[in-house]
Amino acid sequence: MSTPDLRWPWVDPYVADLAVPGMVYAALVRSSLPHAVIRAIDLAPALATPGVIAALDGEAFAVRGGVIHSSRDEPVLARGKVRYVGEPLAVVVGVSPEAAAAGANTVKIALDSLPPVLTMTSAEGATPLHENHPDNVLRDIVLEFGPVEESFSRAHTVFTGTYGYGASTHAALEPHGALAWWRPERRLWLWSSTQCPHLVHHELARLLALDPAAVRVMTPRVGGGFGGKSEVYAHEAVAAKLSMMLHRPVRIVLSREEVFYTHRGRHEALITLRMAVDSRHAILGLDADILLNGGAYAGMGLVTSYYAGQFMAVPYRVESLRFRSRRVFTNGPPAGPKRGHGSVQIRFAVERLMDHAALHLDLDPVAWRMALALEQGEATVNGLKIGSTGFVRCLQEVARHTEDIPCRAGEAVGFAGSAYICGAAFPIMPNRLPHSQALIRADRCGLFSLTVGVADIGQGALETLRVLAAETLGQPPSSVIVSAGDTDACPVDLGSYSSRVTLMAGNAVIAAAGSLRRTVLEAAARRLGTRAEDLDLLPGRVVVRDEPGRGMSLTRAIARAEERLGVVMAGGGYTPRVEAGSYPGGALGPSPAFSFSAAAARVSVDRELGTLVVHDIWLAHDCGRAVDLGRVRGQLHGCAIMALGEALTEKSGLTRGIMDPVGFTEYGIPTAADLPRIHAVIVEEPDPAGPHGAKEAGEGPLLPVVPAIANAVARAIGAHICRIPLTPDLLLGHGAAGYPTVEEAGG
Amino acid sequence: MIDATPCATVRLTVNDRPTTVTPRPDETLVETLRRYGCADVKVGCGEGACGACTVAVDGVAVPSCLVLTACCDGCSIRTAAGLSGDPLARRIADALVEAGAIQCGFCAPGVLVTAWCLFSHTRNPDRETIQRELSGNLCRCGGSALMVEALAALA
Ligand code: FES
Ligand code: FES
Repeated sequence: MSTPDLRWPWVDPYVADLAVPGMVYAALVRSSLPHAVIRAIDLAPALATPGVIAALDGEAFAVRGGVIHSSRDEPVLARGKVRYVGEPLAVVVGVSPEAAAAGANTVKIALDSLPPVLTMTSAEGATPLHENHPDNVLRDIVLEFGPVEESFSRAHTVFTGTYGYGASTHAALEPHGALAWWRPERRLWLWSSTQCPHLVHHELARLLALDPAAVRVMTPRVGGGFGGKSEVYAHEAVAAKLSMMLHRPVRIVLSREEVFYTHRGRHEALITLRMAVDSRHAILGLDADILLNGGAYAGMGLVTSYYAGQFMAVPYRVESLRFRSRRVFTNGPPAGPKRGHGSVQIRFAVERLMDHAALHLDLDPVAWRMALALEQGEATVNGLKIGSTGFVRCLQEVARHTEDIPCRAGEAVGFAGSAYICGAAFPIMPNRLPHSQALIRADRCGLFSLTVGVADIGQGALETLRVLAAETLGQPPSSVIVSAGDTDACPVDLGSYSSRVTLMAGNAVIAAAGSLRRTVLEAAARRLGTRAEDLDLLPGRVVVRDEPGRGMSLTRAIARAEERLGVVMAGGGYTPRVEAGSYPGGALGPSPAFSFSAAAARVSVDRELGTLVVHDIWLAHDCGRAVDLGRVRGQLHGCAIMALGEALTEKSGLTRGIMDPVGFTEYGIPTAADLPRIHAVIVEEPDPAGPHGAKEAGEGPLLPVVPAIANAVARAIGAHICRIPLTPDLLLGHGAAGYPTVEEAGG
Repeated sequence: MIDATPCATVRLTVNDRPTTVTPRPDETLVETLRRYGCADVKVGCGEGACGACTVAVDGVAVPSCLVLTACCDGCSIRTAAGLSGDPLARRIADALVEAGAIQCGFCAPGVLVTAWCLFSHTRNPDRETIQRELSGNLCRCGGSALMVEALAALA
């Protein structure tokens, strides 16, 4: 649980590496049809398979799952109906993984096929997936801010475009897994590869009808998440249930194919966007109609539906704003939060339409974006407050680096900008409690032991928190040891989602470390006969500020404090102080701070072959303050490469109702041999709400990369680019299969 | 050498320790290794596409999910954990870590083995060779460019 050197994560176990004596293995049985009524499930052949010790179907779970309380629609194991190929239907437990798999293969399932809904454009009015959504729409959201009609009537030019954005998936390298152990003391222990142990803790308790106090969730090393490990999944719930039934530890690790079915990836989107521009090139209005392909269940889709429109304007000044957003149900694996949740698709549409407008109006794409940039202290028309912004500096950086680049025929540089939240101001499970908490204890040996509930999924959260604690205490980072990943031992943190950890857990850590610092200094002050305010905490020493010769070692100061207090520790918490908009959905969008990014991409396109090469990506990101420069750089690289894959090669979809592809061989993640030169530029514009000024760096930098590449391609070939991914058929001009005809009209 | 003729009883030397195993005919090397406690050999895809399961078989980096244990009789296998005392491997690991190329770490054992095999055979591999060799090891956290940079600086 404690983390001796966070830079060597792989030496510690991931969930598939954990073993407990007496452990047995579970395997899920999945649906082979996209939409069907379950007539019967016969577990008897599985139970008769050698080595199989138990099997369950959906009847074992009384309540439906779903992390958002108003849209809980997902059974742990399908009941009554199946809604996508790959949906878990039953589970089989064996004494070995092979026995479990063999048993799972024998389960007899009788399904009566229903007409499947295979495309989002055919969803409305088709056979309903859920009784309570007869139109197959999760929620029809219409929000309007400012005088939209009036803005459009005053426009000098109105630009319109329809944009299609393909689905993609997270593909974290570590497949999901869980190990559950119902203990003799009647408590449930669960190790899981999750981004949100706190959510798993409470949702699991609900699914199993357990008191949350009887549930302990632990995260060993987690091999990446990107949003794909933020919900509570069947494999976690069935492992827990089976362990309670069998009184044995149960482990389940998904195969790669199963991870593709688990999905929760980027929503496929179809966006019609209108933009009103006045004669001085201000944007008067944005009006979007957004259709999102949600797959079979809601998951976090309500958030996606709002995010898709709420972040339309940032980072620009826009007088009025309107969107209609509908997330429809289709018979595919559920879509969900993928890095840059909900705002990647709309960013693509807005940045593309802006680039189209810039060409039409003969504007420099960078200078125009600079002129439109929101300033510090401003708020968007939908109430998102900008506490700090380095957006103009980000644009300057990418412009400066691309200034003298000559472009031959078929080659071009494209630009785009973006902003992203640093955590959601309101929690998923509504309450007014702190979003992050931290405990820190000073040990007489001079070490500081920091305990947080944060899930480090590879983004370097714990290292960042360690540095923030060390800075507050005036000590080197090596004197802070961080423990995390255990809901029994750690205070609450809501989880690694919506880029919240640096800001929220960071503030909690600073509060805790600041209070501990005062305690230690007060103890030293008593001994030195001075006031705590007159003391400084230096590495390993407490000194009187004006008499540097006078002081004591840190270990002695801690010992003095231990004598007085018994134990030297402090806690801290963070609750965002941000107002929600006073409209339905007004809690979805506000954040304590916004990060900003700008990207440029240089591409060359061969129109005859339909090939596209991305040569360079410049990515400038305002992270407030880089607490750990190497980690921020790593995040920028991660965002650039993930965006590159999403823009060019990665695509998740349905082929004859089946998720396709379901393996890495076909999925098309960029490899070391496919990469452009990536130029990461870190811009620091400290935010008053951030810990020591810091803002997020894990998701925001992905946003501008996709449209920057698309804008470069559009400029290189002088054509409209209205669809992602940029597949060869698109570049060959064979149109936009599956999408309506696409037109951008300036007029 | 991996031999296509399968054996019922297979003698392996895993990280210098000789063992004899009796695999199922369809058992892959990664299954065998993980069963015998080599938890450092990761499974990311099980189809030879990610490189997380890379081990050195007689000094050659291979995805162990594509190799049948039954065809490995007499082979010497080295996994990332078996490289921990090796000075070259240590230099490689330090370089990767210093470059900030490792995030979640799940790809790291496979990357280490690939890089170690490359540097053991080629004293000064050029950038292109490094890129090509590493292209079998996916890093979804996006560390590949930084890895190439770090390894090129080592060469
Ligand atoms: S697990 Fe062997 S290559 Fe992916
Ligand atoms: S560090 Fe996560 S996959 Fe490479």
